[in-house]
Amino acid sequence: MSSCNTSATYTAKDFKSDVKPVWCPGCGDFAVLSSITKAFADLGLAPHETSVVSGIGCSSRIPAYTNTYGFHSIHGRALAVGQGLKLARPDLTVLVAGGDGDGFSIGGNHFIHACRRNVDLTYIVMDNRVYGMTKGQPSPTTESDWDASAMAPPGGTGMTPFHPLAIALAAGANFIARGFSGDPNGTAEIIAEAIRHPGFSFVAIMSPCITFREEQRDWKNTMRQTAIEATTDSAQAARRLMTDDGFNCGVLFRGSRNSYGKEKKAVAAVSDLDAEFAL
Amino acid sequence: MNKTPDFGAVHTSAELLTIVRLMEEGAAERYRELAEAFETSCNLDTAAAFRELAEGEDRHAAEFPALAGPAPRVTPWGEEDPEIADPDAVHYLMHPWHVFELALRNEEKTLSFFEALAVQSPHAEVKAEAVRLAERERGHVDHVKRRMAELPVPPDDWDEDDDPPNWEAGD
Ligand SMILES: Cc1ncc(C[n+]2csc(CCOP(=O)(O)OP(=O)(O)O)c2C)c(N)n1
Ligand code: SF4
Ligand SMILES: [Mg+2]
Repeated sequence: MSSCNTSATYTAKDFKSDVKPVWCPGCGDFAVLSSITKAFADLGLAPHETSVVSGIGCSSRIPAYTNTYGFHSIHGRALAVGQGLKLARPDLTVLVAGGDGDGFSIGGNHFIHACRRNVDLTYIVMDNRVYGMTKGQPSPTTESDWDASAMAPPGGTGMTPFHPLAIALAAGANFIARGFSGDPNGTAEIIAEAIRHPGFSFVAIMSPCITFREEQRDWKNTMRQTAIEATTDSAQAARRLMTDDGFNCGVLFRGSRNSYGKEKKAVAAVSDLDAEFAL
Repeated sequence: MNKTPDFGAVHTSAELLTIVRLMEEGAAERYRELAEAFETSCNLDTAAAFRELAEGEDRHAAEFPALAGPAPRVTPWGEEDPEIADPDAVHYLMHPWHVFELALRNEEKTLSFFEALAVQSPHAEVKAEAVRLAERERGHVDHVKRRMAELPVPPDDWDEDDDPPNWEAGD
């Protein structure tokens, strides 16, 4: 943490660290980093009030590149660490970030239960429909017939892609949105709104892996701003998400559940608990 | 993801100049980021070309008054800032010539934006400023064209990699 000035206003640049990303030139994650730092600055946050927690993957390197508190944790466990941090330090803005492999394969169960638990944090998944860091294996969001790499089975996995937004809704997430790295300003606005919204906010950001999924360069022609207003009605959101083609960007659902933790005050002192274990 | 430009969103010349400074600063930042990315991936000639562009954009930004007060939130050019490189328009094997080709596209997009603003803005002051900015931008376009002409044109197979990242079975 290089700065801790409580009265200053910070710019997006102040939220970037001096560590230079090792991402491939042209990787969508560069723009996501810019959107995150812009959102922090637009919200008037200070680096020492903010934390970025991740798992493992190219996208999960993001805490190293942000000048905030951070934790580059273990594969699939970012949400466990992030929720723990928020409950221990409710004063911090907690942003958890990672990839589709990290969040939906090894971390899939944490994802579902974090939606249910509804701790007040924002979860960003940089979805490139592949394991970028380990050189191109299919992830849960990969198209079932994708086999353009020796790392994929011939003919593809044959498995139906995971629908993160629909699953988030079914599991109880309180805010659901999709962004696109090719629209960094729009994505920054979505992230800022997600952070402001109470409870568990989920933002899937389509972020091309130009190395292992070169065809994703074409996303800039297919992603579109959704023409519909976000709904607060989960049944309506479910209908929309189940007919969604994966290219609609914007806020799709704003829920009104109370976030976890507010009423979960400690009911006993640690010394009392210790006493219960005394032999 | 293109939104239609809102040519009426900028009301005064001062506001327009602030926005242009922000555009130039944004472009400098983006080119510097690309220079660093190419340094990291050991394509040093291309990195140097991006650095040259970043320094050029720094000089362009310094020609405008520094920001007084908070930045305007309007993005009159629609969704895509014309001055900013397409995030995915780069390739790890690209040559310095490609870098200037990319810069040319950006400068030309910016030029057409100012030309359109000069015609379509409903505010006389903004129209007049846009005419001056378009003239200035023509200078940037010419400069980039000159630099491109000085550089060797890459061979047709510039993007062929004997050890590609995404190898297929049998490669
Ligand atoms: C416990 C464990 N299992 C497997 C790995 C290997 N591994 C590292 S990153 C990764 C997948 C990353 O994919 P994703 O989360 O989509 O991130 P991306 O690189 O695409 O941004 C895997 C399987 C690991 N580091 N730890
Ligand atoms: S491998 Fe893909 S996801 Fe990883 S840095 Fe390169 S482009 Fe980005
Ligand atoms: Mg991935």
